[in-house]
Amino acid sequence: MVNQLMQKKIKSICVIIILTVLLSGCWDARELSDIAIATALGVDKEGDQILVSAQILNPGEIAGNTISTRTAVSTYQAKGSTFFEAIRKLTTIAPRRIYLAHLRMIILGEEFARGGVADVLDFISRDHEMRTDFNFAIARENTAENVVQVLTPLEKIPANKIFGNLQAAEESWAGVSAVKLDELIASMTSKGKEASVTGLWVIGDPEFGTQLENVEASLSPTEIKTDFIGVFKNDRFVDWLNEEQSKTLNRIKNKVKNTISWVPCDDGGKVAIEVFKTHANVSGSMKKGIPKINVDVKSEANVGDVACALNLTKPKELRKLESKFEKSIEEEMKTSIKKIQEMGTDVFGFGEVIHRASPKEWKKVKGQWNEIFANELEVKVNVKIKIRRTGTINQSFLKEIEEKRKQGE
Amino acid sequence: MFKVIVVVLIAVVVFLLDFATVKKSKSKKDKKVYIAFFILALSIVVLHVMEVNIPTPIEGIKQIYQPVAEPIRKSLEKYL
Amino acid sequence: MIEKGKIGVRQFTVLVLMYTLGTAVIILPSLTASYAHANAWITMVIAMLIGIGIVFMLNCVISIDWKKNLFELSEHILGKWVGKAVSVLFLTYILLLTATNLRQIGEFITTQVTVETPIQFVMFIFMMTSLIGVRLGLEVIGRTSEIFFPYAFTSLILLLILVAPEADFRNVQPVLQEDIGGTFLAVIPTLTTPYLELFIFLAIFPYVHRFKPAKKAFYIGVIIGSVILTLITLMCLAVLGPDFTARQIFPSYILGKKISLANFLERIEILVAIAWFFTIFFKITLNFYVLNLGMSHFFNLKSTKTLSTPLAFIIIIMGIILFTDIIYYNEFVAYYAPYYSATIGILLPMLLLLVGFIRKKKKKSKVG
Repeated sequence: MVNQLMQKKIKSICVIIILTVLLSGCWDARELSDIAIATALGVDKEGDQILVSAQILNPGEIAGNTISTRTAVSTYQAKGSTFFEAIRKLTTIAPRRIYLAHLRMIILGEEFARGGVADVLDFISRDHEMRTDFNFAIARENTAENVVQVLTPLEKIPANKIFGNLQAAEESWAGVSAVKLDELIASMTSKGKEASVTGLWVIGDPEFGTQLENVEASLSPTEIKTDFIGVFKNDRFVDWLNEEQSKTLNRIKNKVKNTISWVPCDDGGKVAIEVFKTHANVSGSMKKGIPKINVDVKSEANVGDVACALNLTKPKELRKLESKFEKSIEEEMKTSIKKIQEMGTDVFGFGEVIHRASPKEWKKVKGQWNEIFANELEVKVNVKIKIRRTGTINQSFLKEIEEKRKQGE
Repeated sequence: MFKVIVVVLIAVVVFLLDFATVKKSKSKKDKKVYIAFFILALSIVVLHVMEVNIPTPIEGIKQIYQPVAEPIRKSLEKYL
Repeated sequence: MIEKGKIGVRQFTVLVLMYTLGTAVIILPSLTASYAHANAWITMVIAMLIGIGIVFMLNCVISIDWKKNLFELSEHILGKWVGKAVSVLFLTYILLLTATNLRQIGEFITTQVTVETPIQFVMFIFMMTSLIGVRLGLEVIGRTSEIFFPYAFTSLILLLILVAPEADFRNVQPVLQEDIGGTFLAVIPTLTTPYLELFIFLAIFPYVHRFKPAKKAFYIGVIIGSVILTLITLMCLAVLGPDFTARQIFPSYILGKKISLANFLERIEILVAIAWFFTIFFKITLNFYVLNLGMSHFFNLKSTKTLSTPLAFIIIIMGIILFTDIIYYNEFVAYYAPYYSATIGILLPMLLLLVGFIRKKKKKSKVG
């Protein structure tokens, strides 16, 4: 009897001890006050060392009620022989351990990107804190540290501004591309495709951009702009695409959601359309060792901006306009593709198209694909545009104004 | 040494709690086998805590199946 | 009979399904994609077809006398001493299997979720839960599986639906044009988990209420589980790409990270992972239960619970010492485990079937 009571007591004591162990919570628990949330990382090369600039959130400034004169983010920098070492060395300056799960942007300095980025990507995909939902960008003609330090108006966190900027520009401008980790690695390792990453410009004086005054002005003197696309060969950055080439690339990769293009009218002036639906169908074939690519682009558009006397009441006029746009876009795409072919790096992924179409022939050429892409590949472009609507008005009143002016003369 | 003492102490507590259920079965054989296994488990835990290298049985399995495994491994590795 | 509890046919189906998904869901996508690349899902389909064949064979074995579990059966068919020897082979395999599964979930949690927690503690907590399950008996395990199953199943289906918008099926083209040899060879390591481990259900069969529906339930559980496995592999390939899938250690977790619905429903991968904790938990618990059952048969003990506590600790330590590091583990799973599993999971049941068949014939001819 006594024995049983004893046992019950021992049991309950053990349970209590086990429960207290659980009370302390998760082993890996880290409170918000112990971590420094990094929103952007800039990577540069300094000698043979890697310089990491981390944009760290200042939680008090983001969520606090009192407005202080401190900035919403702070930048910490550290150097190391590897990327990982540099990141860990940040703790020698930063007051807390860097937490990477909320990262929005990784910015690569142009110089650094020219030297190859594979080593950095390895750490990024190996580390468990890193997710895959942040974007990559290259600091155009600049170092990444300069870009990371610029403060931005409207959006307190610069990394968020760039991230949002990229999404918005990708959706309604089409000259940029938001590239995420898995896509970047996939295109760097694929034999029939090369990587492409958006560029970031610092407009104005980068020094001034680091100061709070920059965001106090209504028109900030220093701003970050996302535009144009940089192309890679393997993991090395090679060259920048201009606006048309960037747009062409996005059209072919089916990344265009909404964009603008314009043509001159017959009697001077311009007319612009808003392309709101684009689908590119890329097909390929390889016969007798000659690779061929067919690009069929189908778009739907609205008339967006008429700056000339154009009769929009007749369907015939509209058809004419359509064919004009078709020709102009076709021309633009053809010249852009030629230029990119001359660069000798297949950012379109035409190689993969050939691979899917004729896997057997592909095996023979995959070793020297980039040369074949540059010299032998024939690309045919066919654009079909359907103009659906003319916006909220039909005829432009410009015609009346024109007539009135002529009468006055 | 401190670790070993802690492990043994925990083992004693576990034994006291656990042995009651074995006792209930009222079978001598159960008790004997239980004690044998308990000592085996305890010695493995103690060896592990003392950081003695216990050879892994996986090595033995690998040795046994080597003749079958090796050729298939070679042809599989071609596709890596 | 040592185990007095009974489980329903539906519980049996759920257990088979969870067991099939079990650890396979975290290791197979990467394993198959390493060798079959874009055709990994085809490997999974082939493995499934062979798996169904294995289920057929196991059903034949248990049909010899479905009132006896695996260990009783082997003693009944092969005689006391040979039967005991075969039982030892089964038990060693199950012991190693349980330890390996425990290590797998430990590796998963310490690589992806809580990096600084020692793996021993993760394994300890998992094993203790399984220990409680085994102490409570098969009936409780069956009922718990019924409770947790809807959650695990829905989150896996949700995962498949939510990542669907990110899928790009050009990643799996051209279908069966390249790495054809790899596609078929990769079936060998794919069979190990879960199909060659299914034989442990031979020890559960006698405790299912009705035998005929249980045979059908075995098929249903394995088929549904394999289809989900195939779909998850296909999604990994389509969303992440074959190379990325092969390079990841736990690609299906990365797949969960890809869920992003309208920038709102995201960062929910851990909910998906918890669903796997359930399936893996039931796999470990079932293995551990069968181990206890077999041990008590082997030593002629009165209760299955007798050895549970010491065995739990042995398994935890085994889990730690079996593999020195993750590369050693991967090498073993891909290149050596299949043949060991095939010996235990196919050859021994075949032997039982064959000898049982011959004995039956002899009996008949004697009667005749």
